[in-house]
Amino acid sequence: MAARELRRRPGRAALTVLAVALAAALLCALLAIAETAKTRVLSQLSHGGSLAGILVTPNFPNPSQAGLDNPQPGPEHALTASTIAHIQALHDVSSVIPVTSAPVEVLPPPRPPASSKLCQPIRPHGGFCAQQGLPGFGRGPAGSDVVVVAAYPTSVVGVDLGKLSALPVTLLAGRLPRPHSSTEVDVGQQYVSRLGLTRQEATEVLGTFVELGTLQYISSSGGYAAERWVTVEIVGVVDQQAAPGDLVAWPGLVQAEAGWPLQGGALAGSTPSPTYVGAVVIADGLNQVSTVRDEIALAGYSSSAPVGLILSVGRYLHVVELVLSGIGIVALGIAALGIANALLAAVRERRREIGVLKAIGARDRDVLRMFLVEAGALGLVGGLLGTVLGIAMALAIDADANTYLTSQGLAGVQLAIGWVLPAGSVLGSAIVALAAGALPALRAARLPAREAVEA
Amino acid sequence: MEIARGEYVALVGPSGSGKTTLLSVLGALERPQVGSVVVAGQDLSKLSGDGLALYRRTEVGFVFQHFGLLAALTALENVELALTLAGRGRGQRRRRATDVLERVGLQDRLEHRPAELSGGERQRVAIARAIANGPRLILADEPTGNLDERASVAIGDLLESLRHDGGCTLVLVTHNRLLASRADRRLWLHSGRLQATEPVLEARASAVAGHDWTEHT
Repeated sequence: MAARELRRRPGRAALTVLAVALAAALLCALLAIAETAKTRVLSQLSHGGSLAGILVTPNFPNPSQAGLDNPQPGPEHALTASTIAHIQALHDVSSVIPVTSAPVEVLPPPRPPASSKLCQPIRPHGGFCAQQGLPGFGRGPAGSDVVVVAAYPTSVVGVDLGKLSALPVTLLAGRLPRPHSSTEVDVGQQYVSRLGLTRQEATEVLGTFVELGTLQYISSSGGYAAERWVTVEIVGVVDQQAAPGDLVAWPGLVQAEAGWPLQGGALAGSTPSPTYVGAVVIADGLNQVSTVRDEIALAGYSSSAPVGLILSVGRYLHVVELVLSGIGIVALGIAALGIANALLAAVRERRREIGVLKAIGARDRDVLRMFLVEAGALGLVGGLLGTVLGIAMALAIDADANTYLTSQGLAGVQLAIGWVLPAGSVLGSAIVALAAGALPALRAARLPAREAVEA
Repeated sequence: MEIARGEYVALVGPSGSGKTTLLSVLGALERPQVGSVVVAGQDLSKLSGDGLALYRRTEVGFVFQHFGLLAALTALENVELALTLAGRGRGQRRRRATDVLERVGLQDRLEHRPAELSGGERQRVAIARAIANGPRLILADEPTGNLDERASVAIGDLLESLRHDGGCTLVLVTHNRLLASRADRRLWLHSGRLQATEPVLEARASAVAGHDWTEHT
């Protein structure tokens, strides 16, 4: 019957639903964007990793820097598997992700044409053009389209990329190497810069191949005994803060690169050995970060975590959320007034009808329920439409923002819409409508049955 | 004032004499300021709000001058509404509503809305709704007030047939002489007081003589 009554005055019902829908859409879109922005900002502060992430470095803690988010580390203190196991066993620690690293020589593409003297790849030892003293990477002489490349020393960082969300690693373009791949790597922004490419041009390195060189050294003279080159494909560009190094790969590839020099028989032990260059420790929550850091310091290691900054920025963002919510709630309040007004008008117009209902046996609560159902229906339909509209608005804004961000070589934004926001928006609209309809419904319920026979 | 079970009583008198108020009190649309109303041994003044609603739902059938139909509902749905309030199931509602609409001659108008019906047809729907729950008392407030003479006669016939067939008590407020002349008794009201009771034969004689009751007082 409530639906019939709404259909009887389609214009009024449509306008009321529209008011609710616009308010719900505004609230929904604002909250979705605010939540996404908050997630993005906090993610940026944690370098794409967990907000409760702690980066442990192979150094003693510096007592004078205690309590700082990013302290200067003390003297070196090797991280070992047993140390990592100890940290893993600490109270309030959710997980520990070791970070390994291996020194490599990187020879990037593009390959110069074979006919050019300048075009031979320049390897540091035994390469063809080292004697020419070419300045590493860059374009050839002015006016030349020849590209000169030379290998350069850096590190390949190995982490369990399956735990990307917990790592201070953000994928900017392309994809992550396939699980446990020994032929695929991601590169950092430094690599892109070395090629003379801008952030916007970063995608040009995707699908290209680099050679990774590993050397065996004679420790006494400093010379090298042998070198090994392997080719790997660049499949993604990342922004990573796990450890210094231009490349990121699965630990297996790093282990192979670091382990090869050790297979040199008599030379074994004279070359850099594979060690943990850090560990990402995930605390149970943001509030446990300080406690865990204290325990790590007691274990003899320096750590850093932007928890202070995150908490501080989080507070400001919370205020922004409150303001945006306030705007949405004001809009919803205006819509509620619209519902109340429409229903009060309906009560005025339907006095005799309400009287007739009572004359044929309707109780006060039957009339109350009828008007509340009308109000709830207006709120529910408006809320549903508004939520769909609001999410569409948020998606459109997100797409626009992503276009801009990716054009600037930055990671895109993933719109953070779970089920709570849409469900809350629809239910909230219905509840607000019910609240707005309460007064008109009470008035209707209290009308005397005698209204049925009033002139 | 006493009205016997199965009696047909017409309340007559000038405007403002209290006819409709008396009808409202009999139908529990309002409580009397003084005195009491006892219907079938039930003192209405002692009933709660819900008790009065139950009384209106089960014991009384109202017929209004303005028909009192809900414009958004069809004829069938208007009748079903009374049955819904009485807690009847969907199937039972539909069957009973169809039956009573057939009884008032509207079997071809079940799905029509009030706006699509003539005045006489609307009043028939209202009568069907009034009798849907099988009330013992039918209260009609100027049931022919908005109808032409032909439709008024038809409605009068219908009301009388309901009384004869259903055995219910019929109390109506009317200015229509012929309709009132068909009553067992006419009760004259003036300024809220019962002035006189006129037996049916006298009433019929007055009607034949063309006596205007509204000026009688």
